[in-house]
Amino acid sequence: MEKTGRRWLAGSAATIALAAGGAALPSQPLGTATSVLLFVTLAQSWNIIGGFAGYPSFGQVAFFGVGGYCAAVLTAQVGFSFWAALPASAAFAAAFAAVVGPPLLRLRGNAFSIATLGMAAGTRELVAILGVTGGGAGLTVPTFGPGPHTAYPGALAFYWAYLALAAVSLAVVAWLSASRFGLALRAIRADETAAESAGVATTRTKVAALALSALLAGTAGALFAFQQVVVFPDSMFDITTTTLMVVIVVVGGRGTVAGPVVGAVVFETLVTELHLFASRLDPLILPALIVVGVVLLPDGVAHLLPVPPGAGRGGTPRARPRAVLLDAVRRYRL
Amino acid sequence: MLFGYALIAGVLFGLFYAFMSTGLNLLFGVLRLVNLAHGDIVVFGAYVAYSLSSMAGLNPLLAIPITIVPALAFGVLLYYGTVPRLNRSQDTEMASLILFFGVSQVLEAVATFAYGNNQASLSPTTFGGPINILGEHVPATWVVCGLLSIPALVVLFVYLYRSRLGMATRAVMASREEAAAAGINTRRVAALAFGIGVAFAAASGALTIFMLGGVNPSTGSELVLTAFTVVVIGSLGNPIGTVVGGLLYGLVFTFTKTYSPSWADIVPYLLMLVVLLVRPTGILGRRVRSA
Repeated sequence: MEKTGRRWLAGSAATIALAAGGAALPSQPLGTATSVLLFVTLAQSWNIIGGFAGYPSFGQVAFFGVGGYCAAVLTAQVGFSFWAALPASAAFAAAFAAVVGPPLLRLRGNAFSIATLGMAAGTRELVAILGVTGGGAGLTVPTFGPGPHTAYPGALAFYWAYLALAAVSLAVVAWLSASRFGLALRAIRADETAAESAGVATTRTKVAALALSALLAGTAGALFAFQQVVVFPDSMFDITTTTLMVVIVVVGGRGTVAGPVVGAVVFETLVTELHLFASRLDPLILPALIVVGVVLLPDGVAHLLPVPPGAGRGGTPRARPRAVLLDAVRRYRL
Repeated sequence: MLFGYALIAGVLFGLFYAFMSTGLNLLFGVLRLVNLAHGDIVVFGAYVAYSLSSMAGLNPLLAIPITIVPALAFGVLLYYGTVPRLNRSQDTEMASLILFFGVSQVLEAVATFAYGNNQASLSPTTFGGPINILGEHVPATWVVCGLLSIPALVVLFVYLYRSRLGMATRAVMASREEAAAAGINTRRVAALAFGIGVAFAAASGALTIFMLGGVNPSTGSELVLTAFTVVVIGSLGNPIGTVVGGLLYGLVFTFTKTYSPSWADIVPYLLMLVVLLVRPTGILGRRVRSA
């Protein structure tokens, strides 16, 4: 317990240090840092469903997009202030996941991945034809003028907002990792049938995991919409966003707390720097790196590191499905 | 009459969609992996047809015989270059999805460098004016492309159901372990199936440029979804299911396009979700849903 307390303390201290440090950064590295923080949140969102539950969602950008569009519609069409729209959008994205989740989560593996890909594409098409979202022409988030609008806060404020969100996501995943809920997710990942017979309510647990991951992605989407000011179906539902989430978590280490953070720092820095130095070859280099990376290291960087003895549930669950399952059975007193 | 028009167009589009999707299903059936680069390979075939017609002034359909052999070779090389590595992963499925996503993005980037982001299209009157079928005037390109899909599908079925190699392929589809135990070189069969799947994708590209009215580098990611929807509707790993799925998809697509154009792009995804909800194994499916 003392160790956990120390970790929370260290996390809070690091967050405060990063918040103070951001103020000292020039605009370009600040932009890179902001996008790293956005992807820490998005990667943790994917990590919950793809890493802990073992359901590789390829449609995670849908929740990001739904959150972003919800914020844009509420501020532009309904007249909400941004701070009222933010929690509403997060809740809406989670509710959306709770609706689409049950049919999707009946599938597994490849079928689940592609069905979620289709779900995201379908959601984008839906947003593009609805009147309230402005269709393909996009929607502008009001940031000045009369009424209860929230003024555009500037780059540093967005850095802080994304930092706060990243810290919250990290805390959520750290809590999840040690909780009964996280244990149930790991049991599902190790062997769903066995988990079910051990008393885990699999469907409810999976849908809850998807909704929690959508809550994080939706909040990030709402912030992103506000930051971008103008939202389009193609920018909010960009498939590259999903790819980055998947790649970051897989490279960093699935089902771990720190892995996605490391992955996000490495990849987003790489993406931003590549874009600055080789903008023409940019669309080729990242996917080529992915291909080479998967061929050379099919299990990601995290698997190169030895799992420390006693790392227990913080390690790679897939390596010890039996142990995880037995642990679950014991904890559920069966 | 709108109904008759939608029906004829739906069948023609359905045949085309079956042809375009069948390579994805073959790969899935044999290797249990989803080739996310499928759509980009189709787009490459389409660009070959485009170049032949607009630059060399040749018949764009020549792209079909021209692309088959290089695409087959590319598929076999891609198989040997990646799949044995993937099989060493702890989670082959995940690694393969990411890998083929990467391949898809690489192909898309290459297509962008070569052809730019603009839509490449060929004249809709390449094969003459509208053809009268049962009183409906249907564009000649749709008729030609729809009908050309039939022999392509027949070739696949002859391979699968009438040849020794096809029998070995189906044996691997049914059970890789038992096929290997029966003395089948599963790796060679899988490599060939991979090549054939890629070749079918590339060959269907020449038709895609007419059926979709043109292609651009990002068409590939839409096509792989379409193909997967078709395959899932029919049921994963079942070749006949793909024809059923293609026809159903084609009909649903043309009917929504005729009666409610703005919904035409979303209805196919709804159809997929409904099929998955009602029958997770697809219409002709017998397999378990964990694919």
